[in-house]
Amino acid sequence: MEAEQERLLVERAQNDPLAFAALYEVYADRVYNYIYQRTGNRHDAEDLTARTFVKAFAHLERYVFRGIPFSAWLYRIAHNAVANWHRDRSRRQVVSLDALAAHTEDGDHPEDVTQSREEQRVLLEAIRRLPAERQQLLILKFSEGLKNVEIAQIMGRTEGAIKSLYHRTLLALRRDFHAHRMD
Amino acid sequence: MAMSAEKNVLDILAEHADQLSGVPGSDVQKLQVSEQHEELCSLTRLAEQVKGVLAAERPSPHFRQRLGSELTEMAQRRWRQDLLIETPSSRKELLIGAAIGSAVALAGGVVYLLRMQTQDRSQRVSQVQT
Repeated sequence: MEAEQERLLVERAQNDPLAFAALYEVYADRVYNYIYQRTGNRHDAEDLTARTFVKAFAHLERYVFRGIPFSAWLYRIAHNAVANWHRDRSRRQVVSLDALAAHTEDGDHPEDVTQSREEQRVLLEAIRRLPAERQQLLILKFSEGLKNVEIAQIMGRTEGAIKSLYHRTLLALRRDFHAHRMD
Repeated sequence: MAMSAEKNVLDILAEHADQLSGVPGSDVQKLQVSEQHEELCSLTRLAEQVKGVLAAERPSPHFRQRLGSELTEMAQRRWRQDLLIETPSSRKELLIGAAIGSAVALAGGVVYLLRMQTQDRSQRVSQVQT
């Protein structure tokens, strides 16, 4: 969505609570996907998505555009909701096997499918073991398809820092992935 | 020299990731001529696998609709509250208006009575004189 279009939608919602529905329509899928990738299960993703939007609605008047787009503000609320969820419940993230099944292509040989699925499971577990900010970076980049500059705004860093973090994240992930693939 | 090589790696990886994510204008041609070709290939392959396992997940239509309805209800409640908050000021204005109206009416009544009294007196005086 264009920045100007987003600004107008936010302004309308700040003046008229009923206009918040338009913002929800634009961002519901993205926020849900981000939270789903961080929690690994639909039930918690739904719960935290609801909390994120309720909080955004309640505090919308506080949002002031100062170079940070509304989407970045919303992702930060979602990020904090996930962080609280991990802290409060001290849960280990669950790897969604439903999602893995969906990624496996039809028509593959059964043994190849099993191996591929196993590799995906090990990789997803390795991603879940990464520090929260590195998981956030990979999800925003690959699952949400955001540009580095947008990720930088959400994570409160420079674009250069994001590139550097991405490189270090891949190196760490490769080490962990290879180590666990050998097991 | 080492720093520029590292910057080159960061840029190539970033561009590759952009290309995977479908960001327009990304270009990984540099990868072909890089001195760290093998290392970069290994990381870009991993990035492609990561992209594969982090495929976007959509919420169920039922959940999406339910949350949308709940938010609309909340918005309606707030809208009604906003109206209630506005009401006291209009009530106040009404009360002030009513008070001014009453005062004017009272003053009019007093003036009328005073005039009547004055007229009465002047009539009595004229009757006494005649």
